[in-house]
Amino acid sequence: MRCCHCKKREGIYEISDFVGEQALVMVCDECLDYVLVGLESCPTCGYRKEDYERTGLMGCADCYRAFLPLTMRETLRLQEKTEHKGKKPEEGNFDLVEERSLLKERIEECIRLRKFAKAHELSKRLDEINRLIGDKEDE
Amino acid sequence: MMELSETVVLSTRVRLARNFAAYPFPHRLFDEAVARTVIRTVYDALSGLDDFTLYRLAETDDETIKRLLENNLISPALLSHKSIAAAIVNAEETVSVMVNEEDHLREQCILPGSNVWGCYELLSGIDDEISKSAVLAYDEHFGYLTACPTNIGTGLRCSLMLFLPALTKNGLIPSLKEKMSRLGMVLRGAHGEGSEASGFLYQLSIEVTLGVSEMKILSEVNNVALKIIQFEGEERQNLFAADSLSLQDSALRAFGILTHCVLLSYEEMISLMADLKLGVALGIVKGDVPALEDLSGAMLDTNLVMREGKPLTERELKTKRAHYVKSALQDIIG
Repeated sequence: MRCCHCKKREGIYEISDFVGEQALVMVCDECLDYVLVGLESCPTCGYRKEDYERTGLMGCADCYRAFLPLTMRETLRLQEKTEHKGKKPEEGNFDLVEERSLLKERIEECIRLRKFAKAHELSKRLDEINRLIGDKEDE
Repeated sequence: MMELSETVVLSTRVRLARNFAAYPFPHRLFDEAVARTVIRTVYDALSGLDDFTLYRLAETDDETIKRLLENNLISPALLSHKSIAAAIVNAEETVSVMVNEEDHLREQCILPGSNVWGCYELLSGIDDEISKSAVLAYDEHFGYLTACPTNIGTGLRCSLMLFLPALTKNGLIPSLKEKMSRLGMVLRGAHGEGSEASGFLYQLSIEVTLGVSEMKILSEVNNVALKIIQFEGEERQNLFAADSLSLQDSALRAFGILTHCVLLSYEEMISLMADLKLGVALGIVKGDVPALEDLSGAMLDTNLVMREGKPLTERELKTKRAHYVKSALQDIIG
């Protein structure tokens, strides 16, 4: 996919459009800074970008949004991906389709290790998920 | 004969990094009243779940701090914030929450054997309880926010303590390290680079925290562990087929020294214990690898001091260790 900013070079970073509705866009290396504009210091804690360069640590939770280009660059460098998947604080649980496919793996493992009581317990959870989400496809 | 996996994966550790949304991260937390609030909130949230003990590091004696460190219940990094730091530990010492380390909370669970799911279930319950008492730093896009961007997303790290004598002796560790690295995992000597030769102990951990769910991460670690267990098992058979007499000699020689010596340093014990554990794993000597591993942990300096209830000199530590190991091995080794 072409870079969404220069429309010339090939986009190498897959990022979400923070301004809009989280649509997926591609950006090339040269345009990354132009696409995302960040602040020099965090309005919440006063931490500066150069403080991060010096310590490798953010000052507070709000720094991540204040220094968005830096955040994006660092997450791409350190993590390769930029979008969280998994647990959320208010939910305390997981995507049920994913949990179902992993439960199947765990049940097989328990049977292989002859831990039948645990396999039975996990099967009950599997039945419960099947009832909740029906025949939705696994990932 | 023991289950192979029990003789390869000695313990599992899972940790979650969390922060309070309202306060600066610990390296910028200069208000001690706020730090105390964080500690109190977490301790109150956990008190209803289990019998937890709170250690405020500024008020904890050096001997206890050393014991918490040696038993991996706290990290050296926690000590750098000693005035605001605390550890909250359950009665079995399987779960600990470090408060005001690099992040406000480092929740961790260590269980024996290969048990990523057990660790995570226990930890996730604790994490849910803390989430009810505080607004955690979380972003819809980046997930849980941590002081260092290497931990954002799930904030999860999972690691296994592995006993790999055959892969080490057969020179296969470098290629295994390379394979693990391609899978986004790191295999290193359990006590730092270069430490593997003494105890054949390694730590396998996964680095990714963003863009992959907790379940997926744990499942990957589990699947890789199964392959390593099989690989080590095959190499143990090869080792045995090539020179069973030498293995028998090393295991029995180690047993002989451990049950007859009078002075025993921790380093010497670890090295001898490795030969004995391999002998047990191969069925040369009847015994129990996890029990030998527990014994090794119990023979750390600080655990011996706690057992004796008084400070011990270097020489006393060595004599006590030799004495305890001798008597424990008579029960463990059949």
